[in-house]
Amino acid sequence: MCLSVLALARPAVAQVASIAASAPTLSSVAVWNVQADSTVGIAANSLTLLINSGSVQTIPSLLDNRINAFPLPVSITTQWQLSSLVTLVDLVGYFASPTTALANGAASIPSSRVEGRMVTGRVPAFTAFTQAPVGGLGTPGGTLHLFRQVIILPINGQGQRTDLLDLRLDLQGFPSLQPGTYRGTLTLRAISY
Amino acid sequence: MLLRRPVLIALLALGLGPSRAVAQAGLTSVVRTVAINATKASSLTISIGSGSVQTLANVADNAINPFAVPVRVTTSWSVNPGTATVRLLCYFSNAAQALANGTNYLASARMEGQVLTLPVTTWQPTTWTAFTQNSSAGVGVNGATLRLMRLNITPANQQSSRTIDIDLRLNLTGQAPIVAGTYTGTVTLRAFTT
Repeated sequence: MCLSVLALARPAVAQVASIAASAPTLSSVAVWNVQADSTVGIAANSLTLLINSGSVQTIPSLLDNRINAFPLPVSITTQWQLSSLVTLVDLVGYFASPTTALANGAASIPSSRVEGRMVTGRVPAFTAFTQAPVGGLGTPGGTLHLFRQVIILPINGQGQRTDLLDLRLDLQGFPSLQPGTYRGTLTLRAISY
Repeated sequence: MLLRRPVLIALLALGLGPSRAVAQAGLTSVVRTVAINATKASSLTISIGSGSVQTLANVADNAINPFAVPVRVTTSWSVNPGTATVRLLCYFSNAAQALANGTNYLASARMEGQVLTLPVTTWQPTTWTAFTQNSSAGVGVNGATLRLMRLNITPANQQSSRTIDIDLRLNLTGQAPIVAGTYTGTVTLRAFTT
């Protein structure tokens, strides 16, 4: 009786092994996808982005011809619940206008002078916001691809990750800025494929 | 079970491939924003390049006694667009006692200055002028001040500098002979914006 119960508790493993043994890899992928749907249940696919802290970044005293680091990072949590077998999730940061990432009246700082670093992502070293859009997200020349997360349904179809985004302004070699407060908005967005 | 490893390897290879992904039917998250503020403060500095010590070895009574070298002053500024003017003046703290030799004094009215640096700006004393002007915007001492420069700020000169040479002299013409000794005093230079 005990043996019988144990056998019932392991049908999934038995099925996979059986199908995989008799079908090519692609076929087994399809089967897994069906299994995943039943495992995840009826919950809809979702992709959520949260800013835990650092949603306002401030440098109180900007210096010309220097690297000006923002004191605290942006803490970002990305959550997903995805039912496709294999999915990529990209996190992208971008400015609406590469030439005017930050503005102080008519004076501006381009996105090429704003640098980001995500040690746990694709930019472990400070990199300017000068990249192309990713998956249609972002602006040409004003984007930074922050991370790419591989989602494999049986492993991490539902999960989350938290990353820190460090920001700085690199004004080395840049003409002296007009005094005043330069303001801008960095947009963060995640996309799955 | 046996095929899991190669399948996973293939899947990982898919995910770790080239960075440019072709968008397929997928999800996008809501937009989150980070507000970025960076402030550059205005600055206004003056420096004395030379002539910070002015000396007359032998003062002649009832005569004009020019100091040998001018005071070279550089004013540098980086100011907001709303700034109207950058001004520079100099003054003694006490009009009646600009220079002192114990209890013997020379009034600031006996000290004169001129600035011949071109181009000439508003306020610039292009002829010998006594330190008898009043303060401006609360800067300086009434009756003991000499105004040196007043520049209107435009978008073209919000960040700029100007160097001037201030010639000084002690005009004792008509003054009763002064008590022998060394007369010392301090001229304060100050720049400000309005």
